[in-house]
Amino acid sequence: MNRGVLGISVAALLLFGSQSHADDQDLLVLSSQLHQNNLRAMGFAKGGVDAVAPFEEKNHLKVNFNIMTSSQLQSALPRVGMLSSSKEDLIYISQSTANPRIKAFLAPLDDYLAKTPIEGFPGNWVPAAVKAATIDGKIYMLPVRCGTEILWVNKEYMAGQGIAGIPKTPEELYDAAKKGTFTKPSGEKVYGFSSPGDKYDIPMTMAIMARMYGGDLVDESGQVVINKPEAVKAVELLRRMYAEGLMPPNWTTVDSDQLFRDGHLTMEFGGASYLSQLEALGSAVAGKAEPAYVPLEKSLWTADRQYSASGMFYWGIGILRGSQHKDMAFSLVQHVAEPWAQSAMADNGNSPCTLDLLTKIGEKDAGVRIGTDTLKISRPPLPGSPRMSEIADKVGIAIQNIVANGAPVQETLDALASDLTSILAE
Amino acid sequence: MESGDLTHGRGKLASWWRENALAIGLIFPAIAVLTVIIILPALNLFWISFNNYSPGIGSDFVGLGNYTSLIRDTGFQAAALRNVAYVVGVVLLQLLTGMGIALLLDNALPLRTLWTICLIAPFAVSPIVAVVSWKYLLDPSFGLVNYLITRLGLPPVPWFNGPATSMAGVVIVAVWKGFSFIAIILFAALRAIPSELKEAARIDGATPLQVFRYVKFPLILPALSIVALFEIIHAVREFDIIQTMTGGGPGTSTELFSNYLYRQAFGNFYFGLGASVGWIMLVVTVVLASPVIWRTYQRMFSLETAGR
Repeated sequence: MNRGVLGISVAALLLFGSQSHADDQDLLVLSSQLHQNNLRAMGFAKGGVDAVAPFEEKNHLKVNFNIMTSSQLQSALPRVGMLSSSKEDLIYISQSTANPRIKAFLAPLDDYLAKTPIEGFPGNWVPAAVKAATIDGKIYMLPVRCGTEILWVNKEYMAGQGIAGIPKTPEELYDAAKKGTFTKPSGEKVYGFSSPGDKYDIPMTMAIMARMYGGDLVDESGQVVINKPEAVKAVELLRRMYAEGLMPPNWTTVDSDQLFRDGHLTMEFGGASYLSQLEALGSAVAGKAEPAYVPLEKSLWTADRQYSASGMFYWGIGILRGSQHKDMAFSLVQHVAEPWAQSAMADNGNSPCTLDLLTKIGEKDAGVRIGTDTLKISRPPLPGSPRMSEIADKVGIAIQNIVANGAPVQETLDALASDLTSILAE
Repeated sequence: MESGDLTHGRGKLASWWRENALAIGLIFPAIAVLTVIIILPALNLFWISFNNYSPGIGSDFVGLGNYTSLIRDTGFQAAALRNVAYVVGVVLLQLLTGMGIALLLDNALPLRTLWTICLIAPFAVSPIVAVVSWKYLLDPSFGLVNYLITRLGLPPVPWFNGPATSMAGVVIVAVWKGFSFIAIILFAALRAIPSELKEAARIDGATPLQVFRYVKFPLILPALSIVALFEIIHAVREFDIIQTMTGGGPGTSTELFSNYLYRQAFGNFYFGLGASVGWIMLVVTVVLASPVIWRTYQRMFSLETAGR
């Protein structure tokens, strides 16, 4: 009996020892579920190609993921990035976190790129994303997910509610939202419109809304314009739709993408590459979702363009300063940048940052085509400031206060503009 | 004389050591672990609270600057007032509900075992899972709660559409999460009351209310004080319900100390400011809990003296 116990203990120790030896070689990536789905063909991408498996096979290691929400990833970056030695090797960074602060948390990629360049980088990558990844002349991340927000409509509801066509102006958007709000015979409510209303997502929603009127939050020269008439009109439209019940009452907490997928919305602003998710098994809008350009005020229409610049988003992957496997981590970055892996990830629902692939996907995917057109004129919602999180936080709170809590529009936006101006001036 | 005192003192110390060595030996590992994982980080946090520390940007010593800027910040003032109101409201509702259920159980409620098991159920569910489930239950358009309300012929409640309905949703979940613990503890305390005492009061002509007021309540007061203390501490540092259900919004209308701390430290990366909020929370917890602690200890010591 004692020998048996001893034998089992020794075997367990050996197993544990070999496991920990294997763990020493493995890579740990901090990402959201969406990124893991795109890379590993999981979730809505089930049945696709695992873009990481060949890398694991070639290097005899495992790539593990620590899954977090977008805001958790944002707060994880300084926590893990400040460590001189971390178990985590790579992290996904969004446009809301990509700012000069990341220099302190990530290893620059320049030396690696000089030794083993990535094919087509940076020329074939979306310029705005590369620009955001470059701080003081050094590149800190590889942009892997780029896109714009576009308008998604539920064709079935639009036709059923007698909505003539896709809205092309903010006024038409309001009219369609009004007609698109109805109760099904089953008693189930359908709302005309929604867009992410969580505090950290509001800068994007606000940028899309303001740009429909030719306005912005902060213009390209760095001037805060969130209290100018164009942005005021945008906030008023949002508030009007909310107050009239054309948007979900819990807009500030609800996942509008999920609502649209579940058939509870007629229209939403969502990612250009959502088609595969919307067509996936279990989606209530499979075959009913149609992508469209974000409306633009008619007075701003030109012969070439009748749609808004919307808002651009991007995610990059960077190597954490404390990673113990920086060389291998860069090999993974390089692997992910390969055309084959980019293509596999795109098939798994990723919206790539490589221009040639975006164009190619656009030939088959109407959403990506619209997104790629928009990408040419779009920008992220906010400029890259070290205090970007605080700016986003203030915008989120102010807009929620106006839309849901009934705060006065102009007064609140003036106070917000003053706050943002002083933050950006520091 | 002095030498005699010294010998006497040493003897007392040796005797004290002999009596307590085992106890000290037993608690030493716990004290060592607490020192490493709580006391030292807390002291480090105290130091950080005097610095304008933001990772990736740097750190400057600002003295009491973080504390004074918090006192001046209207957002923090509102969160502080809201937190105090939340503690009073939630703990009172939890105590009333818990007490009511404990009394019902004590009064030989039919299927008492089943109800007791049901009371334990909230403990078996992970807090985050419970809160997320409640978020779905309270969904204004598709939630079960509004479905039931409308089946009763009442208008649906627009949960989370503004400050009032958002806070109401949070309070409902907080009360649900806390009342069962109170009910179980108070039920145990009620069961511990000698039945002769209740019987004697009834024979003397006391009404059920008088039995409760003059017999049961004084005897369960120590247990009530302890659960109230726990719930006060818990309510001051409430975080998960609000962060998961409302994110502190709309705006900052449901934000309490912990959410404010989280937003400043992990959202905006002002770790120095976040550390100051943490220390203020500790002070507020001590201030709010001290009357309960004081009353409990006073009673314990008076009972001990009476026992002697």
